Amino acid sequence: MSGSSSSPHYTNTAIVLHWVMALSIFAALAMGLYMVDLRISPQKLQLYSWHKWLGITIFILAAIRLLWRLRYAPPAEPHMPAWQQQAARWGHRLFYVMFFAIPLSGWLFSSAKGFPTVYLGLFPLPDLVDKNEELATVFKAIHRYAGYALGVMVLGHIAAAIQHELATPKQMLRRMLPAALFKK
Amino acid sequence: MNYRYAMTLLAAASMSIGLGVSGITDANAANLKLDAAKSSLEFSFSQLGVPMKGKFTKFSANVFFDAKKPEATKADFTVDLNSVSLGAADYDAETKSPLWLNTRAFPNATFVAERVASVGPGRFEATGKLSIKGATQPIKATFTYTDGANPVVEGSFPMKRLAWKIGDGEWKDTSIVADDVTVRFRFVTSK
Repeated sequence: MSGSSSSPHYTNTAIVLHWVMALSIFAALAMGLYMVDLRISPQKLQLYSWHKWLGITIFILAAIRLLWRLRYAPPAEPHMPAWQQQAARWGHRLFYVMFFAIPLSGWLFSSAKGFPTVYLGLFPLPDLVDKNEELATVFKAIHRYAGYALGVMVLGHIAAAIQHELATPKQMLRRMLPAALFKK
Repeated sequence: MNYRYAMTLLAAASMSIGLGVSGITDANAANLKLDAAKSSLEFSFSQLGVPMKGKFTKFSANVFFDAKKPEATKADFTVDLNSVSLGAADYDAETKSPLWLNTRAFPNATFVAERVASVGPGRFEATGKLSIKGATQPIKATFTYTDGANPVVEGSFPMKRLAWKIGDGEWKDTSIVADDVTVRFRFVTSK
């Protein structure tokens, strides 16, 4: 993940992956926060299913995105202080960790609870662990607090983007905005 | 006592002894006592494409069964619906609630066999009435019978939960919880 491309923009694939994942993550977080306190109802079961499907989708997209990121260097960053460069580097690395860790902890939680995960209601995923109530409690806590952490990271990411746009207008955001799609 | 009367008495006595002996030697016919601790009664269904499993841990039965004369079977089963378990406390509570099994009003399910027929070596088919939640519907179960000191009766039957209004109201939507339920049983008995 070093060096940078000569293009002022991320690749089309990277831009699409970023925004599709952004929407998916926003929806999964909102659903997760809303559904947990519902009484058992058809709506709750439906939301849990959608949440799980979305989580698996994010996991798959993250895998593609990681491979893409390793293959295609991002465009050069505008000038910024060294601490911001380091914060961005490690922040982005932590995002990737979360992209995998949160769906995985949810899948583990579901397995430990004794509920198999069937992607899109069609493709049964293997149970990662046997039914185990204590393990379920652990994975539930990891899934929950990692989800909160990701929510905070998203807010920090947005705040940083806005800060850069204000500090150095039209340099940072344009690298990733959908408007950059199909521009050379 | 005249001769004729004595002969009649003798004949009757020998007949009854003969019947008694044949009853003892016919090891296939038996009143089977259910060992609930070694037996299992499970059900499975699909929830949004996800296979779900549950079980009942308390049930009892009165069974007379003769593998050579299955049509003479007399059997009734009672299931304590409050012993239901889906492996999660909140789901168990929901399953007992009025829209599902309504166990407060209907604590037991019963099955009474009406006709048992042989459908192959050691294989049988039983039809009868299954009563749950105040509704009674016919079901057809297939099972195997393995003789021995502890005969084992093992089989299954399909049922449509909505025929008993199991999962009423908002739960009628079969795209969430499927209508089809498979019940599997393995009864370990003693003669």
